[in-house]
Amino acid sequence: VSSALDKLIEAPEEVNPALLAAWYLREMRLHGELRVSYLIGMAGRLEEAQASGQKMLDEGNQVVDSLRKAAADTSPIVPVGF
Amino acid sequence: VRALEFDREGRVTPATLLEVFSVPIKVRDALQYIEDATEPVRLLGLYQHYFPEEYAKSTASFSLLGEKGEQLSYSPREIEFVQLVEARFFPLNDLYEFVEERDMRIWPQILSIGDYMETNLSDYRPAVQVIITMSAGVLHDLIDDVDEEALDDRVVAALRLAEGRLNIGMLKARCHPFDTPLKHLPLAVEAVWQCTGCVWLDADYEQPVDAFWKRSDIDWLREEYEQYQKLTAKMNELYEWMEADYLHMMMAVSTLQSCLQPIEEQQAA
Repeated sequence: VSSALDKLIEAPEEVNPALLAAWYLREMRLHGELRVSYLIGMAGRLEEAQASGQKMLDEGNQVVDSLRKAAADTSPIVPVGF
Repeated sequence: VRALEFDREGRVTPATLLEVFSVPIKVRDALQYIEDATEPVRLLGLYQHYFPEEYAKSTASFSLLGEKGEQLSYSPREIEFVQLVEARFFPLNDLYEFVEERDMRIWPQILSIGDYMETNLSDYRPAVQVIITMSAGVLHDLIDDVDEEALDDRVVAALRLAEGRLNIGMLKARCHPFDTPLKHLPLAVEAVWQCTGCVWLDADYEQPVDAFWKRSDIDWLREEYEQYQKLTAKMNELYEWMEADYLHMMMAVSTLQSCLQPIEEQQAA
């Protein structure tokens, strides 16, 4: 459990860059500002957002997986109502 | 854009209105959203990035409609980019102008030695025929396909006597001290086995290159292609050395022969 928790504690607190990029594109589309020339110019940054977004997603999945596989540990604190 | 839904009184439903403003909240959906938004301009973005001057000067059309109004898989401007990649970076399969379906996968030309069990062995140069025959592990099936006129009789006789499976670790150790092109023999065997670690030497039609039209994959294929050219130069040096002198050819054959092990012995090891 501790290693999985350590990974969670160490994880950066930031929004996945793929989500930010998708929201930004969505916003531009709604305002009719999403032009081909803009997309061509932004292609590199969007590719980076996809790559880092995918990486962050994979890392998150790994943490969830390690939490699932972690052995149960008894808490010293009795939950309220028990 | 999805067609609008109306209620019984002809008003746009709130669900439809909300749909227009919905944003992806799952990372997978966001990744797909970016993919869908950028796919139509992916090749153009890469064109501008890798060849900015040519892109600025180009007058080729962006349209996916041909002169007769037919649907094209790639616009003339995109084809121009693919041709530049081929001319300056690495060779591609000659299909981008003719395929019916647009595909964001990169289809490089197959440059590996290929499926020698299906190809006519005598189509290879003599040195490669010898290396394939000695490293294939099914000698008696291949030896009859060798172009005997291109090889010295004594080399053919030595090939007929060879039996067993090549031990690549042993071959590497044996060739390591050589200061002749014979030191490249293990590389030439790995090229036959398609396990050099260089994608251009290892990939074939059954195991194609797994790459897409994006910067990271293009940069990777460029680096690998430079590596391919270096490795190919080494192998050509070996082939020319072997073919230059019958004694060289025999040295290669005997080196390979000394690393052949009975199959049972190798399995036990």
